[in-house]
Amino acid sequence: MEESYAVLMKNITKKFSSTVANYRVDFDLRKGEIHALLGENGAGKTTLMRILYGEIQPDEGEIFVWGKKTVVKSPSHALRLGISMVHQHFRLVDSLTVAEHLALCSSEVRFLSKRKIENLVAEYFKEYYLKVDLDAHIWQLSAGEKQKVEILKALIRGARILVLDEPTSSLTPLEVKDLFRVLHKLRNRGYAIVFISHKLGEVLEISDRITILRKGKKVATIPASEADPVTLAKLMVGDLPSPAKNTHTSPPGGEVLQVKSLYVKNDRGGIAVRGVSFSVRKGEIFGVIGVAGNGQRELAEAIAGLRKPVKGEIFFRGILVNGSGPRELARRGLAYIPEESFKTAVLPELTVAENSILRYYWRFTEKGFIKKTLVEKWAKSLIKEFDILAEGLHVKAKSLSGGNLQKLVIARELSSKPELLVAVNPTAGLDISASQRTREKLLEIKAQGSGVLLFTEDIDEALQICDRIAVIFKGSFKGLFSREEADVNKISLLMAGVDL
Amino acid sequence: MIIKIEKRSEYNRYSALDISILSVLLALAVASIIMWAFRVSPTRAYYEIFVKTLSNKYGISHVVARTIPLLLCSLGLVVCFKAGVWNIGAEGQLLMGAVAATGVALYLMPQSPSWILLPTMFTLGAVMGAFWALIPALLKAKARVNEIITTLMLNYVAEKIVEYLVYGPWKSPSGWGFPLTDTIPDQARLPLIPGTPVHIPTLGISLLSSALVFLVLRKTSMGFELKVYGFSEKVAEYATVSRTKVIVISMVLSGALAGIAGVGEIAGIHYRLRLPRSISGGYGYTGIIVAWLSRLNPLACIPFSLLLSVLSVGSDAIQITLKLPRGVINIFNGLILVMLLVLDFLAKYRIKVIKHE
Ligand SMILES: Nc1ncnc2c1ncn2[C@@H]1O[C@H](COP(=O)(O)OP(=O)(O)OP(=O)(O)O)[C@@H](O)[C@H]1O
Ligand SMILES: [Mg+2]
Repeated sequence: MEESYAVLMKNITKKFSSTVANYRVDFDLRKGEIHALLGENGAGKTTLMRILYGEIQPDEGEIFVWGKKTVVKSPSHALRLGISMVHQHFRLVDSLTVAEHLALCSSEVRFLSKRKIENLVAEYFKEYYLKVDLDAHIWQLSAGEKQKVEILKALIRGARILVLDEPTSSLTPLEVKDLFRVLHKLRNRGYAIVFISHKLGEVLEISDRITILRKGKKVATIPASEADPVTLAKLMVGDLPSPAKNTHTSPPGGEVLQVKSLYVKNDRGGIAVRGVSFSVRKGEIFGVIGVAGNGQRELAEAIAGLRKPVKGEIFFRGILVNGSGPRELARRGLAYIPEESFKTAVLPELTVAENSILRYYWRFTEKGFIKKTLVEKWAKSLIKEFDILAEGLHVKAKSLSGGNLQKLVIARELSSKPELLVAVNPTAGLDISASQRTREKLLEIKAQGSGVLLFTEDIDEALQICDRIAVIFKGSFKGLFSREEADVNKISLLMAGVDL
Repeated sequence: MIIKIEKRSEYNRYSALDISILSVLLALAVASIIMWAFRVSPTRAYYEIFVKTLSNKYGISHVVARTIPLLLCSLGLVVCFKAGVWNIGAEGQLLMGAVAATGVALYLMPQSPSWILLPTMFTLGAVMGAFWALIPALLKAKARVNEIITTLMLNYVAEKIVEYLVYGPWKSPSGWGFPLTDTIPDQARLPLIPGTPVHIPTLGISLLSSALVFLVLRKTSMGFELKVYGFSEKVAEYATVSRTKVIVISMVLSGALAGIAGVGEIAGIHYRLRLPRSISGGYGYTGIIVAWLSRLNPLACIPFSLLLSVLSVGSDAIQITLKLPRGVINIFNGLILVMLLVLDFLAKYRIKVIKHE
């Protein structure tokens, strides 16, 4: 066995009851390389890496770690072998501080001594640009900082092989750049890194080699230098989908949502939204674009009735709804796809069918009883229409892949016949074609006369489907463009806080 | 040496029910060690508890009689626990139901015929139990006061109220100064299965309640709301579930069922109010164990209530025949709960001892 291989996985097969998540997959990871894993939602990327991390056992196949044949029995065994995995969805404890987290991971720090932890991480802080505030609580951190904590955890535990499952899907562009700097440094020091992402640009930028999975099978492993987006997309799905076009031109109707000088606080008690005013019309997609953490979450929650505004007014379909609860708003036709929907908009322990009615179960209720046949019919139609990969209606939602869980939320909210849809980063975690289909669906409900308030961080997405675009920065709107006058450069400057 | 706790990688081989049964068996095994310490043969003890108790009409009928309040209490707790509302106040809610029943039968309408009196006792008993649960429910819903503490404290308040009544204003003048009220009139007494202490209407209510609670949790939107809230308060808010509704309804339902259990104890067993310990014998607390053993399945509450009341009747018997100290039953209950918690933990986690290099 060659010494330069950190990991060699041979012929890995893993079946869940009726799904073949991995079929005879070969995968190798060299010392000092960043190896990207690509594939559609449900292609088996997470499964393959969970096998390497010892979370699940393969049905067939062999694993060699550092040249030695190994059965990875559990995550702690994996850690002893120097393998660490950062999951698609963070598994940090919100109420702990960074220092406490790191202390828990280290076998050297028995008692929480700040000095010891500082000594421990000083090297990483300096060498790998992994600086984070040790006293901050996890809930106070941005997604990018959480990612850093996860990586620090792995390094402290002595990992030499790092698996990062979609680390960038909720990071701002700047944070992505930061992360890539860390990864480069780690690679140059001989760490072996697996990087999973749906963003082809990122993959081409950061990785040395790329392995593509399709429906559980490995399609190819190619050097990044020989790859380009079109080839990759072809390998992943067979073809590159043509982008959705906003061609609907009939003039938008009356205002479905009006927001008047709205002020909203965040969880920490600071003002997150400062005097925002705008309106969304029927048959219009109104885009709010900005870097994450500029008040999008708070604004969306206030409109959905989940957060009380401090000041200002919200009118939904002509009626003042400041004090209305989420039920009343949903009843009047407000659909909502929140940020980090896997945490707040689904319950992994419930079934797919139950999750498909989560926000609308009262529509399926007659004389207090939930109509099972109606629910099943509904869930089936969602699965079909939105191409959700699930083993059935009555499996737990946690058995769905990350992207398919997101599709379930999108399907539920888009199919609820909304008057207004509020969607925060709906395509996060979706593969290229699923993102594309989601955008098409947004255009579809717009054509049917719904208003859409779309929060996004992706300028291309905004330009592609929005009718009007507002830039949000530090809780205020910094400019409002119609699609015709929207300009990429102007928008990116405004997003970065440059006043024009 | 380091002790490490890690999550098991694959889903455990044991179902929740296996773990319940295993924990009962383990508890019995550990209890036998304790019996040994008292120089009592465990085989003999278990023979007495299980075989003797269940081989005669007296034993069986007492087992069934004790199952009734236990089942009613555990059903209510299942509803609360499903919603993640930690009601440990069934004991107090039961006692308040008993107080209401006695009050109705002795003071409010002692002259009324059975067909008015008994339904009134049940209704007011349920209302009183529900009211006792409503207090902590509102405190939790409106002011986020921890319900574990309030329900527990209200148990003590209920006990004090009962004691006050039986020592004070309600004490029977013809009772030789004992802490007892007068006996309730004949028309306030429940029909029994002849020759047994099994009060038929309450038995019916308890079995019917199992089916009803099952139906509510499985099929209704209310059940869905309880489940969603039980998993996550945040997601429940997103799902347009009303927090106040979930807390109040689960607690009120639970309190009403415990209150009905209290009525049954007065109108079917004691025929008078007496000291709290004689009325209840800890059904409200044992109900917690039954609810957990049943894995919050209301139908499974029936066999597990039966099992724990066999242990209860059986250990009363061995206290006398084998001269074991009082409170053997508490040992059983405590051990079962501890075993259940330990096994649940071990099913999910593995404990590893690593020698220091
Ligand atoms: N525990 C499980 N039980 C049943 N099926 C599962 C389980 N875990 C994964 N699957 C299925 O295996 C397939 C592959 O899932 P996996 O999570 O590996 O996909 P993925 O490539 O990571 O997708 P995504 O990009 O959406 O995260 C999916 O169809 C999924 O439904
Ligand atoms: Mg995945």
